[in-house]
Amino acid sequence: MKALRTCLLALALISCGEAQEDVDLLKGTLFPNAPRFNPRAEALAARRPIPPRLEVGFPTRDLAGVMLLETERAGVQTWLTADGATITLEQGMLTSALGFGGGLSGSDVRQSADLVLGGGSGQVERFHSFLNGNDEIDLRAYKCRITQAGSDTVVLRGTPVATAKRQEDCYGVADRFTNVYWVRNSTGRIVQSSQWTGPFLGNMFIKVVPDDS
Amino acid sequence: MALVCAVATGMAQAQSVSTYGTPGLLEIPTAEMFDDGELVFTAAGLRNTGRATMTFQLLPWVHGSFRYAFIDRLRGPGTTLYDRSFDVHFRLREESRNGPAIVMGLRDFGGTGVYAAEYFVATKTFRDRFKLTGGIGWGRMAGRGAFSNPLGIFGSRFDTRPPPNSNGEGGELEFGNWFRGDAALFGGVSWQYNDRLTFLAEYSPDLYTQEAVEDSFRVKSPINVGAQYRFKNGSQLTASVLYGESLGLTYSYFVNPRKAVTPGGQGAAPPPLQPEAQVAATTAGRGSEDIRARMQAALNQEGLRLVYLSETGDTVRIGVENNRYNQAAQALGRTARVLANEQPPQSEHFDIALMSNGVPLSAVRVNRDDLYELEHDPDNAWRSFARAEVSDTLPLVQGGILSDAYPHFSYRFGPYLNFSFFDPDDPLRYELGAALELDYTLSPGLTFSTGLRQKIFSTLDDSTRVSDSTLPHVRSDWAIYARESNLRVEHMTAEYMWRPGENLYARTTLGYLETMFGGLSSELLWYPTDSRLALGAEANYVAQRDFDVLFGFQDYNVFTGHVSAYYDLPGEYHAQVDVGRYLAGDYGATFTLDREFNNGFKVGAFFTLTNVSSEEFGEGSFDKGVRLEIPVSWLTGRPSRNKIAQTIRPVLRDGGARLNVRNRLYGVTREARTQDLSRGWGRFWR
Repeated sequence: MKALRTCLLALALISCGEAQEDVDLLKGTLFPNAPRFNPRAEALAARRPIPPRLEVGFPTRDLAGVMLLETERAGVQTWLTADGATITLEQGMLTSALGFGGGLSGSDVRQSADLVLGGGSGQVERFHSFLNGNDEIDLRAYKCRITQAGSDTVVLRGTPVATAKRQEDCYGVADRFTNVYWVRNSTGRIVQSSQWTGPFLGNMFIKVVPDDS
Repeated sequence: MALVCAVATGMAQAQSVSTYGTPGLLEIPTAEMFDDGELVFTAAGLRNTGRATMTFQLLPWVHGSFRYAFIDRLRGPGTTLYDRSFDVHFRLREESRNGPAIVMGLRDFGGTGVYAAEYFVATKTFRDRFKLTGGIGWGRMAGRGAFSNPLGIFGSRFDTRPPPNSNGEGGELEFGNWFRGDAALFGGVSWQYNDRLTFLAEYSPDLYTQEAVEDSFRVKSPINVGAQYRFKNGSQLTASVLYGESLGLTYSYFVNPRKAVTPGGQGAAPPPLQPEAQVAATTAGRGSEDIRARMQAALNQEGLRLVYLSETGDTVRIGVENNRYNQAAQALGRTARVLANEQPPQSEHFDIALMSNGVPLSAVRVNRDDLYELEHDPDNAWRSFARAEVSDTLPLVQGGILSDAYPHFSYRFGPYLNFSFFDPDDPLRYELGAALELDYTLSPGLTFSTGLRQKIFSTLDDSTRVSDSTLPHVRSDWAIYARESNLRVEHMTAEYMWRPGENLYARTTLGYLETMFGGLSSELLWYPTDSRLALGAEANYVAQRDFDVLFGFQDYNVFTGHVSAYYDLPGEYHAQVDVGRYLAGDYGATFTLDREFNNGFKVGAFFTLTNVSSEEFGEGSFDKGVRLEIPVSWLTGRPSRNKIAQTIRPVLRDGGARLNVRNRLYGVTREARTQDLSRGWGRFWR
């Protein structure tokens, strides 16, 4: 048995060519938390000045990390992790999350954004599309109630910042979820939030990292 | 109302499974179905008997099973009977508010007949958690309390049941016996205590008559009771007391092919589109060589190999080989993004051809403006597919093939694993070793390939069974091949693939084609881009290779070939018919039906009927089997083109055996034709 193990290990170590991909897959399955590096992320991290950053985390999976701003086009920002996963934000509202396992591929959250950023409360609708495990797109609609949740202080790099807290409770045919936003009083922008990425991973925690200046 | 629905579906999931691996209580069946498309693997043990069953819910109202059972002492002390059997169940009536579900079941309808039984069974659910089942059975089920066949009113032929396995080889449909002879009643109840726990009780008329002869199993009571526990992962364990004689354990594992390990995958996200003004600024000062080099690097990063590039006016034509993605649509999406980011904005249309060894499979036109408009649209998958144009191929121009694309060398070195099933001396044999594959594409379409294998651990070569086949031993000498080979040349070929005309593909392969045969193989395929139907013809002249799987040949050679029709049925089904001459010189046809899920998971079954009689064929009467194909990306959540494929035959014999030539054209071209592209288009933006 020991010989078998040694042999398998030796084979795995010297596997190469396209089989290298299999070995990577095997490694990824055995050590899901081992770091993986994406060439695009490496190029982005080498850029100076350092691109804008976000602190992110998935409380349900006990995962946390940093994302860098890769591109902004048509009002949508694409943020990248070191292993090549991305999220897109439109006015701070999450519209997609790819590469984390869940398949949030697109969203229409304009109604929510108007109320959250405008400081209002009331009923809105939001739409999400998900890539599912059968490579199909599921389009889903949700009804949401946005409420004011008082004021709160968020600490950004040691500096306390005054924010208004907004809560959005949504339900659809199959899911229900709650998003929370902390909107900075002085700028009217979302500086911290907890937003739903889909049934697979639940909420993602997102916090902006202010520039050094 | 939503809450009620949730409770109802939660309850419906707790589907109890019998020792036969089909919806049932403990030993008797119920009139239930699994979820459509579900695969259920069940292992059950009772005194002196073990049963392993794979059941597939083929249609919402039909499921089929393949079972491998061993029965100790059936033919006396120290003996073990290994038995393979197939079941099929049809739902005749769905459960309604006032009426039960009704199912007709045919158990072991084509095997040696140890488990042969037919039955009608009805099940009704009360108050969500209480299920009452009753039915009437023939064959093995007609034990305790048997009465003369009520179907006798349709004719006296129903009154008696001829002995099973009339030809002595098994494998033939015993429909002459179905529903004949005495019948008996059975029934039972299940009570779902909560989401996890269900209690079961039943009355089974099965007397285990054959097992009782040599005291393998004795039935003391017709009453069986048990409890079933459902684990968090959905699998189920049932413990029971059976026939007042034995403890029983049944474990079922459920696989839903639609649910990959992660719904959206964990592979890196695609590069976002850069603003057009930024693309204009960065590409303005670059020469065309520079642009090409950057594009090539960006494509490489996405696992795509650039092999063709030409430009006319506002259109860029590009050919790429996809080495990474299970779905061709994803490769197209990535290529389109790279083009938009690396080509100057004057290039407004992208014609992207997917290539295989330099041969263009299909081309898809994507417009730059559509990419910008739809990148962040929630409905972008459907809308972009509606705007993409799929055509047969690119008009390749002279000089478009990149000078550094060919010759191209690729290799692969890694482990391999082979199985052999159902040898009575050792039901699961395996071989583990190292494989080296080399491919050298000299010019577009012309590829030299070889595959070497060195076994390291093997129980395949322990087999000492000698083939008793009266046909030429084209497959049944597999044990001799395993014993006498060491380092094997699995294949060594020169292959030329080309496109003789629109909608046509052609292939010629010369050399050592597969483990057991070498020679010349030629194939032509007609496959219009947006057609569900493809037609092919293949002709081969081959000689059998030496048992050492090196360079020599044996005396046997044969002309073999088929004409094939492939049809992509609506829904998730795929049918294939191959008619022609097989390796042993027999003439006949192979019928294959697969259920293909969008994500590439496939479950299928096939059978071959030829002019070889069942006596000549031997055990099993004719060639048949089931096959499973699981994409590696389904298991890992990361992009990969690799698959785990396994064909399971009850027995491998010489009749109806087909040549295993590599790169049959339908398999190579299909992913790029419209039907497959549309199914995978959900991944265009992934």
